[in-house]
Amino acid sequence: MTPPIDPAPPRLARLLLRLRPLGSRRAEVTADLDEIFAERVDAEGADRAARRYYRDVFSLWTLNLSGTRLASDAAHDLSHGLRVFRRNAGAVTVSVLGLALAIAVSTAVFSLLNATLLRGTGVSDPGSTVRVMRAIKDGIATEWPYADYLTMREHARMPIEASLVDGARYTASPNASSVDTGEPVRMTFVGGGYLTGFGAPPLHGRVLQPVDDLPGAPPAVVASYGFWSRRLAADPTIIGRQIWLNGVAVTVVGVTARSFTGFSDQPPSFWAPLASYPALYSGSPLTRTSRVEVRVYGRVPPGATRTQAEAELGAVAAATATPDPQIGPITGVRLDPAGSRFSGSEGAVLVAVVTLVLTLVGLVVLLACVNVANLQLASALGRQREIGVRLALGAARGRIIRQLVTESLALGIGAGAIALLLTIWLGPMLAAIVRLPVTVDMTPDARVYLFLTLVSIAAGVGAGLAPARHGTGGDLLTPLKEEAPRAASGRPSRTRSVLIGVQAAASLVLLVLAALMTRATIAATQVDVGFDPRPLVAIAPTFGGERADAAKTKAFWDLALERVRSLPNVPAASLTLYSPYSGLGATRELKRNGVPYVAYLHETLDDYFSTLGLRIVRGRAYSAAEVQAHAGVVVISETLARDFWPGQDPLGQSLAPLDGSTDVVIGVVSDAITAHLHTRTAGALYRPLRSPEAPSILVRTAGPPEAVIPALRDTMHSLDPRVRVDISMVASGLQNEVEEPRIMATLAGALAALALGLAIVGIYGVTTFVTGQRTREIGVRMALGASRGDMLRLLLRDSLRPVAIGLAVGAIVSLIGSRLIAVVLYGVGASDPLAFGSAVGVLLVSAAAAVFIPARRAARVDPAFVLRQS
Amino acid sequence: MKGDRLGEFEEFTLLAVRALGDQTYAVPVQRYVEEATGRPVSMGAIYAALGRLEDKGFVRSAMGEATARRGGKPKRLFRVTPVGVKTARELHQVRERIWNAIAEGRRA
Repeated sequence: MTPPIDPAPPRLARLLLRLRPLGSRRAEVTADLDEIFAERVDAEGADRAARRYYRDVFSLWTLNLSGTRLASDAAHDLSHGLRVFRRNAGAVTVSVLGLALAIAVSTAVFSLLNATLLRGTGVSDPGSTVRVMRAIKDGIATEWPYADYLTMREHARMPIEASLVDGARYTASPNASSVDTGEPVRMTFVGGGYLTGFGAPPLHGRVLQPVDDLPGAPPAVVASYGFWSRRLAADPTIIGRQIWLNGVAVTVVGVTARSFTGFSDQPPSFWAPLASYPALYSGSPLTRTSRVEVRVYGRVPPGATRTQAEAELGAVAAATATPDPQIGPITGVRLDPAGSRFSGSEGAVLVAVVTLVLTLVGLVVLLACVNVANLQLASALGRQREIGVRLALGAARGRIIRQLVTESLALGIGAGAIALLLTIWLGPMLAAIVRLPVTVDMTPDARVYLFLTLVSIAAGVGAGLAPARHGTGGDLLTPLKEEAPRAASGRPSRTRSVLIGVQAAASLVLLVLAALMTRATIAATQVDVGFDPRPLVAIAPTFGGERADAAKTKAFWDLALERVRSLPNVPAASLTLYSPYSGLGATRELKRNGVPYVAYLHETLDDYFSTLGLRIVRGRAYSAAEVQAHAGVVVISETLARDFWPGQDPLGQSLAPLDGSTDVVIGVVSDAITAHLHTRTAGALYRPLRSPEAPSILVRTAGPPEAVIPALRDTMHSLDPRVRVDISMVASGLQNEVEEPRIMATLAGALAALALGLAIVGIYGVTTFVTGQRTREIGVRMALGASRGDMLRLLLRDSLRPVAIGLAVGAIVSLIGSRLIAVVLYGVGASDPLAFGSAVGVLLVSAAAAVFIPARRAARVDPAFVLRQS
Repeated sequence: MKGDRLGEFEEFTLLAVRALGDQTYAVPVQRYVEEATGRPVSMGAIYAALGRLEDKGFVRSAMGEATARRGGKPKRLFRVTPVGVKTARELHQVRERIWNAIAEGRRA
């Protein structure tokens, strides 16, 4: 037998006790409860002692020890409210669960926004940090050549540091094939002063120091908190251990603080010194001649303004930067605030996205609130007698309002507590749906809990106020008369009609959104991209920047192309600067009648068109000789030809009026969409390939492309074992393009389904209540000769009127709102009739069903029975 | 339960403090009231009653010295004030008068 263990009070009860504010009396009260618990264990047994401990803790929560009158009133209101709820358990449960679900969904969405956007960058003194960009003749260039960055850093007074983002493959042990098989990770290569200059103190180990960034330094990396906690099992002993990135052994020297994400939009898996960049990608060491481009961040020195720093650094840059033939001379620098995600050029877009998303989840919470309000309203009317008696006995109206608000506040807080539990499942589910990168830390923080609390309280108070005002607004005498509640006349009250209308409108908005997104998803899978992506494979270098010299590079790609073309099952292969759906692309802004017109710009070899599968509609493609000579010729897409030379022959036209070049149109090819689907812009220019750097090989295969990929990989490796390439199927790139609207459609669909469910519950509940109140009227009318059909029609008409008004309002709001999201609607008009029609249809049918069932029940009353009753 | 009147539960609590001698605290009071009334009584109710009694000036409290039994934790000691004694006694006298009247068979 084991010796008896001295029992301790239940842990949950202790926690509840700790949460109860007790001020200076905590020690004394805790000691009292402990003492009495120990006595009861001896006298009554451990189980009973534990139960009574819970009761004591709950009694401390419901009663005030010495406090004000308000607290005891609230406790009294609450216990009264709970009794009222019990009478109405079914409706209360449905409303509270609906509200809980809505709060949980909005909290999950908020924590996603919080993790990706709202949480700061964790950069120290963010206000003084800036992103440094090159100012050029007509705009800015975001990245800097490595050499220019080095020179600028030497001469500048303000501290600046470079960073560079790339992908790598991670394995925990040495593995010969890790280059191809390891887990893909996101790397940010940074200058030696980056983490010490911008970063928070490390969580474990140390951050990178300038010595780590010296040539020949032993390769060191720092893991980000997100990667460390999720993929490295939050193991503090990782410090000092070796891991393998692209098959190269590196040492983990530290873990960054949880809050630190750096300036990029998502934290990397690892921070590594810039000096180690070539080592991981088998390149030659970084020098001034390296053609790597980096992002540059800096800190405005204390005492200087951003404009002063801009002028000073601009002068340095203009004097030292090497002229870039593609973008022209550097005229200075532009400093953009970098400390917040909402500053800088993308800030406005982010604000819009956040507003839109919060508006949508806000609508769902509103719907759920309306249900609670309806419930409270019905209950307040049902209790008119009780309230009337209390008012007649001299209760202050404010006191009655407080009673009703306390009740709905209790509902709101109850729903919030359930929502808290739901969020535990909903959060990861949402992260999976939107494919949140593993490095993003979505663990809820104080801000998320604050959000949940505020939404719960606001929902509770909001849902209680309208009914409270309504419930106490009446005169004193009517409710006291016995038949008063039933005599309340005919049609549903204005407040209830408005609430029903709001529900119909809000759920219509969400339904329309979901329908538009679904239509867009279907449209995206059916977009005619102008060619068949299935037999196409793209070979792209993964390390684009570093190349020895132009002639060698060109020789390499020429040889690679020749070898690839000689493989079996490869009928065609060509070079292009950007392969389709690779996420990269170039655009050229043309002028059409003085209005900017964006066209995609492709630089290709002569046989690109036949490899991709485009038809030459007019004229001819450029020849191999013209590519060799960098001839000033251009092939345009049908769309571009139609937009610029409608009804004319584009052949022989000069591009001078469009972009100022002297290129001449020699051919027109069929349209193709090779970039993002949502732009759906088929306006494109094709030019002979000039840039010798980092093109991609586009390969057309015969038979399944998967079968050819190993041969392609072997071929590239045999040319130069150090070269790393990324071989991908063009069809899977297209699939990823479809992914974005699919995610949006899933989310919008889930929100809309929830909204529809809430609206049906609300409409059903209100109709049941209203028709129940009209039982007497129905009985009288039927006794006077009205038929059952007449009654049903009357009830349906009265109940559906607010729904119809809500639908009209919702449709107008949706029409305006859909314009705002037109950008992500693929191949669907913002006022797509099918989407609007189906949304209105679904809502009308659902509302009609929700109204019909209680209306029919009410119309079935036996008039004789009703009349006898009164 | 308004002003300086005593509610039923407050009266029990006040009397318990008086019965337990002038150096008692919440735990014995709870046990006493529970045993005397035969109803389960929560600690919260005892604290609330003691709080109201103190507000009305019927009891007074002070922090007591730590004892080994409670692991050195503090306790709040209560004693009944003269006003409290007087009010409880008056209440008792009112009841007694009524009962006497009933016993004598008279109607109010």
